[in-house]
Amino acid sequence: MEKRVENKNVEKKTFAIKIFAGLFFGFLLSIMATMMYIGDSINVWDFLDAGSVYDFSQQTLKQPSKGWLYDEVSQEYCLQNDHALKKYMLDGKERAWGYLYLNISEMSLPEMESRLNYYNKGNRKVLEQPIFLHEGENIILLQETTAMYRMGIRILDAKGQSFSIQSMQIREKASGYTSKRFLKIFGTAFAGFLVVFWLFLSFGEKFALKLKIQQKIEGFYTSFVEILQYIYQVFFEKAGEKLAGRLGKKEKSAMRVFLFGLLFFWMVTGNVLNWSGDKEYYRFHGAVCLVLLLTIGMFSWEKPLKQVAWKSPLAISWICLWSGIAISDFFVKKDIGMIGFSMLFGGYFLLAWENMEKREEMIYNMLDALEKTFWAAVAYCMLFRAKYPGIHYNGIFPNSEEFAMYAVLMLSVFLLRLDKDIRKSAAGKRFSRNYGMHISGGAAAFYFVLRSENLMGSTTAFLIIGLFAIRQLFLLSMPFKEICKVLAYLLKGSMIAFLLVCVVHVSTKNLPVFLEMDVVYESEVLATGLDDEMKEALNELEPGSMDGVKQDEDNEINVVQRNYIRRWNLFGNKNNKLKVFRSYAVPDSGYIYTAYKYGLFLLLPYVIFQICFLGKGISIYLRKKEKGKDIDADFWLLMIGILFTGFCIYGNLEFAAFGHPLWICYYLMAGYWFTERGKV
Amino acid sequence: MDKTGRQKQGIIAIVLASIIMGMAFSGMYLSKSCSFEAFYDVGNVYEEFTYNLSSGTGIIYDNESGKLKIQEAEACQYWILPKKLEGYNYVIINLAGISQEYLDVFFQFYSGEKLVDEIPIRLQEGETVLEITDKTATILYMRMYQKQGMAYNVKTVQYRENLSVWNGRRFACISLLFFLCCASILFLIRWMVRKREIRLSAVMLQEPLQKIFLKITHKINWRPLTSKMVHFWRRVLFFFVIVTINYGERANISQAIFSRNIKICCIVLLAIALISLEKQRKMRNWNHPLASSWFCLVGCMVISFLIVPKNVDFGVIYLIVFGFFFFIWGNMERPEEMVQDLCFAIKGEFWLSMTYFCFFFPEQTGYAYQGDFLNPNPLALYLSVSSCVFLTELLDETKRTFFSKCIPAAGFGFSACMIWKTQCRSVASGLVLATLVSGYILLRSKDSEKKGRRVLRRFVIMAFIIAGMFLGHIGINTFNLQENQEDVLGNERLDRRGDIFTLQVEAADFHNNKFLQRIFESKSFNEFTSERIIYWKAYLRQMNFWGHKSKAVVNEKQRSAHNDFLGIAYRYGVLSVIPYLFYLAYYGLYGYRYFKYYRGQRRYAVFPMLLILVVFPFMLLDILELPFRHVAWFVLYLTAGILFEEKTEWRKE
Repeated sequence: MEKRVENKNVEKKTFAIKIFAGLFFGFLLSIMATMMYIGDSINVWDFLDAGSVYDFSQQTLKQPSKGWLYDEVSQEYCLQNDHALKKYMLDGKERAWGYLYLNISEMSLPEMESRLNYYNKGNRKVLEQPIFLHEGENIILLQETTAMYRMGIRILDAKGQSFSIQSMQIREKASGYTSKRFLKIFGTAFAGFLVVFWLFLSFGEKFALKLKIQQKIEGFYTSFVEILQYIYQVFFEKAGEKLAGRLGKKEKSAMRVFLFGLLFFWMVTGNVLNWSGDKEYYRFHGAVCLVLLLTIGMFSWEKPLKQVAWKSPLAISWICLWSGIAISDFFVKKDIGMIGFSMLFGGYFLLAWENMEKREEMIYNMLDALEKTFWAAVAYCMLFRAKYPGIHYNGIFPNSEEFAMYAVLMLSVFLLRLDKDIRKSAAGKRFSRNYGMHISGGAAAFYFVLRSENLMGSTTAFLIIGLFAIRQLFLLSMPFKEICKVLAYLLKGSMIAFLLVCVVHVSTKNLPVFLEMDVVYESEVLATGLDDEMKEALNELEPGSMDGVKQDEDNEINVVQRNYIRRWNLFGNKNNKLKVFRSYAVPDSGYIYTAYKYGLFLLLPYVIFQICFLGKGISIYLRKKEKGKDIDADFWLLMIGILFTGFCIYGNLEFAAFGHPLWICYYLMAGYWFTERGKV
Repeated sequence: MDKTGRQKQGIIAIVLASIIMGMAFSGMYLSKSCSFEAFYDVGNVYEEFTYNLSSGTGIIYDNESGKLKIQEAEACQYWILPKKLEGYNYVIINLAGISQEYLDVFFQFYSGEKLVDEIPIRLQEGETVLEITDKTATILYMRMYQKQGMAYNVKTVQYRENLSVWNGRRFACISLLFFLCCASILFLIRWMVRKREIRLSAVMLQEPLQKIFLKITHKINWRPLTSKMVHFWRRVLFFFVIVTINYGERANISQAIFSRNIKICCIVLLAIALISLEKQRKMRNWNHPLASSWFCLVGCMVISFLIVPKNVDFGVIYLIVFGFFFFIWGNMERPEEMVQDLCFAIKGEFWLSMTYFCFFFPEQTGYAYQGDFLNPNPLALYLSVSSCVFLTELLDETKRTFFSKCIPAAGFGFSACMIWKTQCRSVASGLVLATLVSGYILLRSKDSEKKGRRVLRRFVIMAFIIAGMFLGHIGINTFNLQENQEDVLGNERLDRRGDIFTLQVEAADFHNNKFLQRIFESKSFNEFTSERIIYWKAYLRQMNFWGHKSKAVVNEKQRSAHNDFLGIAYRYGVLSVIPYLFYLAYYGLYGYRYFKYYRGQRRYAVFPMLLILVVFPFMLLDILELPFRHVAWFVLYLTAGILFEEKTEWRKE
């Protein structure tokens, strides 16, 4: 009876996912259609077909010149003479443009007569175009036959007048986009899709069409997975048997911990030295990661591998995700590619894992490796990585965001450990000897989260702490004595933790500088959340301390994201990053980036994977604890799912493919939920 | 392959590898570069092409003496300097046959029109080195004043970053030393491996690959097409691939479009494989030297790609696409049908192309014929395949009607005429070789026909061949529908008859007979080989163990190697030439065995053997190994599939 109910629930969930997938597909299809309509061309390589576009940064739009004086208080330009000129550098290439979009506000005159100067690479004026500027949006048609490297705006006969530039954009082709227009067309397209979708759902069964299509797709998927798993068996069965056949379980476990540690160390090193992001070296870096992964899989060999039915939505979306990336790589050669093939090939790890008797062991091995490497990272930070006032702490990574991801990952590890310690104690067993380490580790990790001053890091940290806290509510049902016992242990542990954090805090502030061992990476990105005033003040206090430090407020995320969205297409793009404001910029969104790099429709398996991951985690979390079933590992997976999704919504985790422990933990540990436990 | 054969093969491979490594380490030692990026890294080297060594003002080339004679009081030769001499520190000029003891000249370095430096030099017989460190100039003039009557010969003009450290004897001695070291180490490793009974062979890769192919084919359950439909679609798809490859070659497409075309061709090849799928699906016996060397070559390509990424990973394409194709081909009941369909497509495309050339690409006097190709040599290579098909059909001993050989005869004549017009020596010599072998086969063939009838038949075939040659000549000189692209001769030579323009051509116009010109008028071996020595030297200097991304830089420009062995060694690592050599050798051997066994039973039994004979000279002097760039490459590699099914009966024959 229970099984029937469970099966029915599973069927309901699967049906819901299918409906969502269909709707989301329609959503993406409508976006594609809308972009093509706005771009006025059916171009699968560039939906919007916008041509070259260069956005001027807010910083540039506030820079003064001899004739244009910028007032910080009123945030306006004040013209100093009757032929005030301001030159602008464009995208670094000499090319012909089509349109200049200039948004002006607070103009003291109804109209200003101006000249648009075209300069070539040698800074020689090649053309002068008369224009008139008004308040509001100015759309200036440029001379398409004349290429320019720089542009100048000379305003005539307006000495003493003022105005403010809200935004400026120069384009090859006219912009057909407005949010209203987009929503209108999108709405129409999506409505049309909904009608077709409804018809298909309603009448598809009547003509057996739905069933036929479903059978074909399922048949193809099953064959694909069978062949994939057969490839694993053919290539790695013997190697696994030779490597691990003679070892005992403890030895294999120790090897896995060691290899995981090595993997994390290698990934972080590759990230720091920019191997994972370099066109020339990423393949070597990735190859080593793959070899380590396969070796871990081989050390998990216990018996001849059996094929496993990866039919859960999570498994299907995982396979579809990497297959989709591989297909994208096939059509568009990437600067940083082969990730799809690597993960599909590395899927042997998942098959070997599925064939293990106690699958939780793999997770605990990974946790052990993370824990051990964390303490090495803490020591490294204390000795080699100084924390400077006002600047976000980068820790072992070249930027604070990745360090926040790592810190929050480690926080989840220690929260899980602590959760287990508390549950053990509640079950009448002694508190783990390492509870002090677990609390200290958690505290250190949380400290690092706060020091990195990353919004998503802090948000997700509090979220997982909240989940952890909720899980401890069971203590309220325990006897008071037991609660006190637990609290006593926690208090003791907290004191140790506090001391450790103090040591770490003081060390990171002073030790590297004192010992002259402060390490600065080549690809380091320093950022601060301070405003201009505070930054100036700090620079005065410690001259040179703010040199090369970017301000968070200068980060025009909207403009950067628009640039990435502008390049969406069917198969993805070659470049790993886009140049915005003449330097490489990241979009702070895993979804936008994934659609840019691998094609719009890859968002389908990408999002569904995340939803299935979170859904599975939440359902287990909310489920009543069943006797004999250990859901600690599931809790950790839920935390990872939250972290990853959080940094996808606001972060650049996908840039760290094979370069960050969180990335690999998320994609690998999903294998724990590919099949129901006990069913192989 | 039996154990003795494998052992012999292993020993040969070790010896070859030791020779190559010995030379590589010797080069590194001599150049003192210790660079694994280029064994003989001697810095920038620019060697003037021979056609630049004899031109100048106030001098003439005396054909009798083979020297330059100074005619006027002010004579000079000039050379455009590479990269304004940035990265070059020496000019080395090698003179020979100076009519007096020495020749006093002035070396003038110009930057544009401005004289940068003037150096008086006394040139003697042999090499003269001039140091030009930190000099910037665009042209070098060698001026000779009041030297009328003097004669000399410029052997070479070189610009170098570092002086040459080459010493042939020293190189040979050090190579021998390293060869002995490497050979000892390799034989020791071999002995240790054999002692532990570790089997290292390409079987290790073949078996898992075939198992995967087998698994994939077991999953494919679809309604097979009728035999006729299979033939039809195979021919159409082969035709499509050939047209795609030809288009890419003729249109000088960008790398992006070329990559796209490769993908299209791969998909089409897989489609051909799938439609050829029959009921029988089992593992094939690829445990023989041809397949092993092929797999080793592919392995080298894959490893090279992993270390030095290239635009396209051909190793994986060979492994997956060609491997799968060969697997399915081997499982066909009548595998010869694949060759038949391929040849049908080749012939079809040939006749269409020739018709197109006749109408739109007339021959131009004074120029070797190139059709719509960018160069006569690729056209010659393209024609070599069709000529091979026609020649095969001429040698066909299966029961065919008398007149079934007339069209192939005409086709062969047509192709031969066009190859002659391209003046491509390598393809022409390949064709001559194949024709001689074919003639020998014909003479030795046991014909039950009466002598008189046999002579008549051969006479008729010869007539058709000659007719084909005339058809070729007339075709590209008479039927053209548009004016010449380059107005070489002026309008008076054009005979406008309404809408049809014809060009009056006379035999005397073909004074640029490259064959004869090269043989009789070349001043050096380098000139005889059309500067290939310079290319080969540049490639040898830049060799390494793991390959390169693109072509080598020869005289400040990326140029192809003009030799397939050097090209393969350069692109995939110097040791990859060993499996490549084995592959070609076994291709020829298996082609011969295949012909011997299936002679009289299969129409295209001789095709693989003739094909390798025709293209082999081209491989020595040009570059065939440009995957998916030449139809000849495609046909050569694809046809290996019929030879993969080595049968023990072949060897008994």
